[in-house]
Amino acid sequence: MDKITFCKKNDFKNLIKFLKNNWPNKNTSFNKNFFFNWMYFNKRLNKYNFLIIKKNNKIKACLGIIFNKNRFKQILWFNLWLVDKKNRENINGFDLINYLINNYKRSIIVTSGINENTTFVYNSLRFNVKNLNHYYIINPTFEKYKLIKFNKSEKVLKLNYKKNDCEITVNKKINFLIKNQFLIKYQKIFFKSINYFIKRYQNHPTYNYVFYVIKKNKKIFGFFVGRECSYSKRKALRLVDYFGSTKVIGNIKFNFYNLLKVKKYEYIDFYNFGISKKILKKGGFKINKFSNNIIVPNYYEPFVKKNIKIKCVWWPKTSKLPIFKGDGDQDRPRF
Amino acid sequence: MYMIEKKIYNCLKIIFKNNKIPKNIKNLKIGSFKSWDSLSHLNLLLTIEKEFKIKFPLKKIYEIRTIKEVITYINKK
Repeated sequence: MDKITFCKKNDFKNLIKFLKNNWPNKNTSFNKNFFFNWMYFNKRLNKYNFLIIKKNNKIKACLGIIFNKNRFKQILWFNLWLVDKKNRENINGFDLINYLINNYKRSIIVTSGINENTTFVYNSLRFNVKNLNHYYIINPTFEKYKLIKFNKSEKVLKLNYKKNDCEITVNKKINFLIKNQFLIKYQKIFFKSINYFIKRYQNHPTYNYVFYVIKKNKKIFGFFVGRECSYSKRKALRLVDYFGSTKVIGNIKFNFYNLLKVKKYEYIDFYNFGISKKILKKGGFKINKFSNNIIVPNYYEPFVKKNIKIKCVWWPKTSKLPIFKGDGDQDRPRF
Repeated sequence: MYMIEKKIYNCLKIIFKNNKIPKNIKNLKIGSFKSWDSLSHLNLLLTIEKEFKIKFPLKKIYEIRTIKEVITYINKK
């Protein structure tokens, strides 16, 4: 087995060069150093959260890791798993995954957005393979839609806001989570800490994420994280994360409709795995069945009017982990 | 050629269609052919699993690199 190490600062240029030579897409997160550093540089260890295999002083394989740790569990999101395309017969890329499994035994190892063709690889390595469910709510107040596409059989309910016990408040900072004993207990389910939300969303270097806080009689029950996406003078709200009681989502249907109306979003969408379909339906969401009847776009950089299935895989197979689009490196800018 | 080797030889022929497989397969390993990378190696192990109606333990999937190791594992079963 080849020696596997974390990428040191002096290998940074070699790593970027290796990624550029081997990654099939041009518009990627490693085209901007500030973004790459924000995502992968580990200040404490003064190294990059990137496993590398070197031969003759040249990088031959790599695997990026985003560590997400709270007091209950450590989650390792891996991505940019690459083997030198000119040396594939000499390097075993599976050694990198094996390294994670052997060195982070109590962690959950997960990735999302895998290529359909690689499903057999993860099945063989005994990963759990699932699709994220894609939910949406269409704004009923538009006559014409530019972003979303649906045919007449799609029922768009024309609901008006009704006063209810719940309210959604919009926060740019996550201060509301500090010392909130009720919410903190959900760390056990979502495996995310306040520091995770601060780094991942509040201090994101390019996107403006917002926290949609759900309150019932002034008590906070949970929150979504989302960001606006726009194209051709129209906008949509992409919900990329959730934390807290899931039951309360079933009570905010009217609040969502109000948000759509006031902010003039064409639609709201929400990719996730692990939140009850029943609750989300009660909350006004419909599930994208990926049929020809509807297109809920995923890509905005550039905009592509196409349904996209997002596949996620995790190990050990028996772990229970709610997964969202904002996890790992899925919701990232393209430079 | 023993039965086990004969069966593995056939698996090699399925996965590496464009390569000439030598009669003595015991010394073959990842990298023996240009197209024998980790992905095709995994495909080979899966084909061998089907052929022999066995399931390699996860540890073995990561460990096995050579045909000799495959033969040893099957012989032990």
